[in-house]
Amino acid sequence: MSEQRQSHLVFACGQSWFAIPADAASEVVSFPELTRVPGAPPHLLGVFAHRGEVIPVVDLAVLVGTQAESTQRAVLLRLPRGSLALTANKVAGVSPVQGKLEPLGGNGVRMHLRGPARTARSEVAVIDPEGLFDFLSQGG
Amino acid sequence: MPESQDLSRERPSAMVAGLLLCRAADGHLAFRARDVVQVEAWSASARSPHARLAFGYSPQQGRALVSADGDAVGVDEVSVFAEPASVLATPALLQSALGQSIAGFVFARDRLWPLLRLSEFSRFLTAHGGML
Repeated sequence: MSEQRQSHLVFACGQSWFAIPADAASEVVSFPELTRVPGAPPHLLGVFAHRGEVIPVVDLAVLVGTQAESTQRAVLLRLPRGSLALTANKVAGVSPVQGKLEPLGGNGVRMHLRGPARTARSEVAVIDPEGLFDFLSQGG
Repeated sequence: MPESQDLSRERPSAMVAGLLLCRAADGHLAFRARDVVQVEAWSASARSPHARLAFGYSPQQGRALVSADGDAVGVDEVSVFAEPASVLATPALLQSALGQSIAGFVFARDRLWPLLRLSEFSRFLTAHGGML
């Protein structure tokens, strides 16, 4: 069991709160109308161009099977292997996260969500950004 | 952590001239014109897959784009775009998607289009279209 107090960007997707290590979160962006990607799974909403780069937009609520909320805002992640954006209907800002960082599930996307953890305001699922990227790049 | 939608600082990108811009239901697709040797009628009896499958819709009558290898894909509408267009790289997250048939994304007619390799896309749809 591990404990963590690293700073995270905390945001809501649907009814759930998530936290991503602050050093992986590049910026919060408002995205224009998305271009659908043929053959994409439902959680991959589409892509948009941002500073000469095509950014895939992923809805975590759809991915984890909870109720999604429409938004045109997203947290842009820049990782060593590439970039992606996670939709965010609320952004709470950067905050320390405390708690255990055990995988929340044994398979699927929940392997890459850690907890139980919380900020001063809410319970959060802590995202393992590299693990999530690998999961998504294999088709999610 | 600024909130932005700044498209004015785009990095230099490759250019392509001669595209076929296609619609399949609410999906948009682009192909290099040089990869298409024929555009013919597509009907449900056609042996080629329809791009609508890739967007979760049932095929309907339209046009079929045919490659030099004889691979073909049906679409609802097709139009020629002769102006040079910027090509942006395929995001790493999507590089293995669609049987690696995404060659990049192009800006044309004020929107972003996935630029697809016709033969690879046709073969992917033939193999997986029923499961999309």
